[in-house]
Amino acid sequence: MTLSARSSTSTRNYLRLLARLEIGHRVQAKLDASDIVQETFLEAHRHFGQFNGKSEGEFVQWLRMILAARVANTLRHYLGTQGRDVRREEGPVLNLDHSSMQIDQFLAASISSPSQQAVRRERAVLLADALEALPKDYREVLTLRHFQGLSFPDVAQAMGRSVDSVQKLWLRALIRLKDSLGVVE
Amino acid sequence: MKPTTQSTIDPAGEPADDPAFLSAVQEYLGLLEAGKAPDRREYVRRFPDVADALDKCLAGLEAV
Repeated sequence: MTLSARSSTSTRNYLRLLARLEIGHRVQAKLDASDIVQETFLEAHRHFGQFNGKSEGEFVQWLRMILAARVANTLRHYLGTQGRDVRREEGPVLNLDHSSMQIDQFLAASISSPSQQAVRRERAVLLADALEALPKDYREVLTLRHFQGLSFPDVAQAMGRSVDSVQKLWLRALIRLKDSLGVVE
Repeated sequence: MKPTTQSTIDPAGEPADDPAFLSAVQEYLGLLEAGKAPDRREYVRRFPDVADALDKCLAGLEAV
């Protein structure tokens, strides 16, 4: 299988979701997750000879490693050029380990059989596709609430809205997510 | 699951604008977070006036 055949839209959506989670909310305004995913695929293309796996799952895992390095480099570069601590600026929003762990619950690599892992990975990819199809503020409220585990007051602070407003947005986002999942499933 | 709450949600309004709709979804989220496996269809029957919107909302909730 070629790299281009494996670089499906779904894989890109999944990596973009991971990149958004790892970059964090406020820095997203300054750094584009799509650019980082694009750089990840370019790097994968350059080093494709180093990929020793055979399965789609191994390939996605390999891409995730490249993505993690790209995110780290990008954040380091941003910190250097800004001369300040973005993580401190993020307050409760940016939590690299926690955010990636949330989506990784779908993968649960160490505790499930290969077939269970495949099912979980498929769910994560479908969810990433469905989230990608949502309006930005819908995607944002679901990501902050469920993948970054923020309370509604923290979500409200992160989005610059009232608690009442983000709760209504959350309800609308959940309804739209179901519609969106129905389309991609 | 026996109905424990009567629907007080205004079916004429936007469900997301109704505090009772929010309470119903948050109660369901609490059940999920407590590790319980509530029967969504049975739960939705408690709120017949907004059953469709609530079912979609809870299905979305189960996906995340």
